[in-house]
Order: sequence, then C-alpha cells, then structure tokens
Amino acid sequence: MITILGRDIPNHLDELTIEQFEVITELSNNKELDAVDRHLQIFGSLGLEESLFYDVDVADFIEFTNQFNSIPEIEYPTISNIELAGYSYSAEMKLTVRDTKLIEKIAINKPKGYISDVLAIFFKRDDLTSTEHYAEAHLKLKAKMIKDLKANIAIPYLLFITNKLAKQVEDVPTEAVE
Amino acid sequence: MCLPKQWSDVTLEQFIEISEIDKDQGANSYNSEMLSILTEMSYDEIDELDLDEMIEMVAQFKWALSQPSKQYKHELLGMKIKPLSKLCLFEYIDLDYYFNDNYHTNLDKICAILYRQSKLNKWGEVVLETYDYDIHIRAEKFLDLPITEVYGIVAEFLKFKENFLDVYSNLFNEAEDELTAEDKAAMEPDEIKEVEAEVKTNKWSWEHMIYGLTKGDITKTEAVGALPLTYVFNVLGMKKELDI
Repeated sequence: MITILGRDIPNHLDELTIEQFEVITELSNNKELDAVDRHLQIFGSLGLEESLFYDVDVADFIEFTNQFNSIPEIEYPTISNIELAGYSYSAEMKLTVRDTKLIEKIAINKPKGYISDVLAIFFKRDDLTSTEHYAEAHLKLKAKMIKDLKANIAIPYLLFITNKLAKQVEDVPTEAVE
Repeated sequence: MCLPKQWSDVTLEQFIEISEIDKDQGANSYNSEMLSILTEMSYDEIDELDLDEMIEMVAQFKWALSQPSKQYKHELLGMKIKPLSKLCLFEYIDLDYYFNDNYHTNLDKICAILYRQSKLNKWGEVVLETYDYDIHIRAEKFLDLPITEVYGIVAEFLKFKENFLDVYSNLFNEAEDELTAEDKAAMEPDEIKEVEAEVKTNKWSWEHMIYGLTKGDITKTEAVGALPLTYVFNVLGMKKELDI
C-alpha cells in the first residue's frame, strides 16, 4: 500500500484485486493516453478521483506515480486451490488443447478484462465434470467471482501461458494453406 | 496412427477441409482442426490432448507450410483436361466465379469443369464432352485424389486469366465497390447515381453481356454460352471498335 493525499491505495499484486489489475493493465497498454492521463485514470480506478489532483504540484504528482510504480520483484508462489462461494477449485500448471483454444478465443474477442476469464479456465471446481467445467455460463460466473481475488494468484498462470505460447511460436507451423 | 508425410498423402477433400478452417480463431484452433482432418482423430480426442502433445504432432506437418506442387495430371479418372484456350463462354464464367469465390475450397468443382470425358470421332480425333453435365456430381469423383494431382491447375488458370484479361483489357471495366454511407456523404447526388448504376452493371456483368449478345432473346442464351470464349470476346472487341 502507498499513501497518496492521505488515502491508502493498493499497488502490490497481493493487494490489488484481479479486477483492479485488469483495469490497470488495460490503461497501461493504452497508447492513446500520455503518462499523466494514464496515471490519473489509474488512480481514479483505485478511488482517487481526478479532481483531488487539480491543486497538486507536478513534482509531487511525479513522486506519487514513482511510488505507485515501484513494486518489488517478487516471485509469487503458485496457488493451486481456492474457494469461491463455498466450493473448492483446483488448478494445475497444465494446458489441454481445449484450454488453449478457449484462451485464444478470449484473447481474440476480449482484449479487456481477460485475466479473470483465463483463470476461470485453469481453476476447475472439484465436484464438476469436464463437460460442466467448460459450460459457458459456468466459466462466466466463475470469472466474475475470480475478479475479487488478489492479482498475485494470476501471475504464475499468466507466466505459464506466455512461456508455452512463446515456445510454440518457435516450434511449430501455425498456418498451412494460403 | 498413419500420419501424412507430404502433400501427396493428402486428398483433395482433406485439402478443401483445411482451406475451410477459420484462420481468425487463433493458431491452436487452426492446428487442432488441421490435425483432426489429417489424422482423422475426433475433435474431442484432440481437445483432450495436452498442448505439448499437440505441438509435437503438429511439428510433423511443417511441410504443410508450403503450397502443394504446381503440377497436375492431364488425364485423371479416365478424363482429359480441356485446354484453357478452348474453353467456351459458360465454362469460363463458371471458372471465374469459383476462382473469385475461393479457388481452394472450390477446387473439386474447378476440376469438374476442366476434366472431361472424351471419345474419338469417326475421323479418329479426340472429342471432349459438352458442358451439360452436373458439375456437383462430377466434383465428388475428384475428392479422393491426392491434391498433388490437381493443384497445379490453379496456377495454370490464374496465368491464363491474367493473360486473357490483359488481351481484352479494353472490354473490362474496373469494378466499383458499393458505396458506403461515408462515401455518399462526400458525393454529389448525380455522382452517386452514376456509381450506383455502374455497381449494378458490374453485379450483373456476365448476364448483361449475354443479354446484349442475344439481343435480349434469352432463348439463345445456351447457344451463346457454348461458343468459344475467344470467339465471343473477339466479336465483342470488333463491336466495340466498329461501334456497332
């Protein structure tokens, strides 16, 4: 947590919710925003409305952004069991072809707020069958609940996917007929 | 499991199915569908594979990154290929349609137009059947053939078409795209009418041409369609030059 203008705001991954992390990621990737606008919107998403900064000196504002962005490099442990609404969910560092296709579909069709959707694919409810796990409504509801979890849960899984896909790009053809 | 090792192990039907895969759904979606087509494993079986297993299998299909050989057989299934220079008007119109639509997914129908039954006439000359059979039924005969036996006709026809359009370039207009709301907002009403009329003419260009050649007598359509392509275009060229 850091304190800005007397208010505590989260900036570490184990303090931010996945929903907040999704918004910050989206704003950070928005090339149409300059650095000041980007940080004003990020602070706004965390509860510090823009008007609070109207009388803030530029040097102080820069100091706030530096504080916000100085996050220690931590290797977050993999959390493979979570509980949501009274049900247990487990995840493995493993991707089936079906998982990968669903993740690809999310990446193509939902460029915003996809992290919770991706985690919803990894975490399977212990008492459900595979067919039930992949049901669209089930995944959607689970993703909604996952948004409230802390963002550090997502990091090992996102790194796992990134490494897998990077390896795949090196190894195999992706398109055959043109 | 018997995996194909080269394009010659892939049938035309499999090639068409691969060409029909929606490439916008992502690389893994594409690869899993391709794998299912080439190995005849079900989608469900492939979906249950670990990603690494699929990557390993797909790596065996690196040859599929290149196009099949541009060769083709001049005789297949007891039929001979019709020389492109001898196409009739209707044959060319249909080929043009299938090529513009998608010459990979329509390759079976393209083969059905180009490969023809033949016989010797009383002078011992080879005569090809006329273009009055059902090409959809004929197309099915080609589906089990290796793709490498027919793929070359794609390049052959494209080359022929390019040359043909070049020779008769004065008879073809540049196709106008349909106007969008934005285009219309930036144009004068008369200009819009003119472009829309041209779009309509382009939409019906072949029918419009045949209607002109038969002077509006549609009972003569079949006869005009059976005329040699080059003869029809020579006549159109003459009409244009003499303004008759």
